[in-house]
Amino acid sequence: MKNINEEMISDKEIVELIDKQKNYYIKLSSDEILNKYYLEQQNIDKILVKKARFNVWKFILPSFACCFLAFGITFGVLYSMDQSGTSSGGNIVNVVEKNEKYKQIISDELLTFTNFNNNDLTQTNNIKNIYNRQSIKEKFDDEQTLTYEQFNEVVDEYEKLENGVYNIFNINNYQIAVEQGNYEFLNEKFDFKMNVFNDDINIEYFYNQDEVIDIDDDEKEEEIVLNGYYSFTNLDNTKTIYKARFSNKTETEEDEVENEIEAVFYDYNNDETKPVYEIKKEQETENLDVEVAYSYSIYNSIEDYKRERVYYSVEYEVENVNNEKELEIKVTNLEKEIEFKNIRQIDETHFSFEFEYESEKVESSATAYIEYINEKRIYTCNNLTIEK
Amino acid sequence: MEELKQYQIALEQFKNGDFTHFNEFYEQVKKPVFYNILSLTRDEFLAEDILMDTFVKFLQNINKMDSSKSILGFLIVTSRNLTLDYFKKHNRVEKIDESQTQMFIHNDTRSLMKINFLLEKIRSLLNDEEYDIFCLHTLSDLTFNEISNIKNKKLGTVLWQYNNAIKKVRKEINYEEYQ
Repeated sequence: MKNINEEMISDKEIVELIDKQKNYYIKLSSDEILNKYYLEQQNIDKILVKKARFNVWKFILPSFACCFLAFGITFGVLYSMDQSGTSSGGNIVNVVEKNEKYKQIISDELLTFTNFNNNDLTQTNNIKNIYNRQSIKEKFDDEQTLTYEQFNEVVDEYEKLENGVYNIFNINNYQIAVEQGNYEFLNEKFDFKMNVFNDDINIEYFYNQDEVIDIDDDEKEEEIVLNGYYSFTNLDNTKTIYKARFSNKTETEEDEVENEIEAVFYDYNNDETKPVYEIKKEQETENLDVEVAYSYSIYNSIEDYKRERVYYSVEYEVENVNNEKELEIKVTNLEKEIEFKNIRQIDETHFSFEFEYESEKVESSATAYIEYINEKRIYTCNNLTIEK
Repeated sequence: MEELKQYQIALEQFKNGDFTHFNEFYEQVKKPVFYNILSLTRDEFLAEDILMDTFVKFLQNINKMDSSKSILGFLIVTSRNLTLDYFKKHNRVEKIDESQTQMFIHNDTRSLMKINFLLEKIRSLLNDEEYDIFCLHTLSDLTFNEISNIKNKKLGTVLWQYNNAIKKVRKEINYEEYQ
């Protein structure tokens, strides 16, 4: 009788067996590797040159005017792409006047963004302080028990958005122009300049663009990335400057078009301790149906941005219901969550909105009204009144 | 030891942009790296693609490399990471389908077919860690010390797992069948 070990393959035989099979002829040569390495190195060098010029990862964003520009740029590009497949170099393109379809979209989006930083540009620098207030701690069960302090906090949150909301409903008159040329801004060279303007606003964006198009059998994917400087002319003719990066991805499949737009603004001196502002928009178009979702996030620093530690975020949607605009906004920060729903303009001087407020210990929902009187805003909810 | 010195000299040359001896270096290290990838992909074409990417990545990171560390170790780890990235990206399940087998036959790469069947069999016998260590040692020719460094495990643990693997393989694999 054979010893069981004799029937089994030995350790040595296992290794030998494997070794014997290792005679596959590897076709890949060292020259092929070096060629690919050289080729990729050239591409990397090109990208590094661009990065050195724009330092794209150091994102920080600005104030209200930035948002304005964000949409201007974004839709300028979208429009240009729509018309010619490339940027609209050479010609001044008045997107708004040339294309009615875009007029509404641009104004909605421009103005929706307009206000997550209020009117005051200097407020951007105080962002860290704005949200450090103590949140409401007392518990209340229904709107009847809503206290003045609690309502005041809701109003304070709304006030941060108020200007933009008002503009969404009331401002449509602005223009966007894109030009191609040899521009120089802060000692850097740019191929394009975009101008977003009306009687009160003058924003310039100097930028270069990269474009990647990937076409499958039944799907087309395009990505445009813009890098450059944003410059906003203040009332006293001083300039507010930021670095800004936009990326726009478009996927087209039969009748369905998906757009993803991301805009990030950051300090033009690359100060990593300043806040980073990120604006995202997703738009899905299927035949005549359009769905749009926006988000706006603030990060306290570059490090937080890289680690996706959002300090304050706003998600919002604009809908046209029976030819009337309706806006929904959800605000989230570390301490609380507030939703403003059914924001509507009742007439020239009156707005209404519903709010749902949730903080560590408080949950409430109610409807509030705003009356615009001269430069003031009167907020009312139940029997509470607050003037701002 | 002599080999290690050679690698180190080559690495310094590469860092200076001198690739005169890259071919020699590549010829010395390509097999263990290739078989390491093959043990995961069991697809020769894919393995060669990832082999290419591994060496390109190696060259791109050459200036960050520490000459005193194992170059083969770096290549093995890089190749494994790239292979896993590929799987993630393509949501791929490790398997060899029939068409691939047919392709091997038509290409007359019978040895590869055999090794794939053998690996498939071994794969079914061992757990992930045992299979890894087994392949790194037998296919990629890494020493147990090198494996313990790459996998960040104690040498004793590596040896113990390898021995377990060998025991399982001994019981199930027929030497004649795969000759």
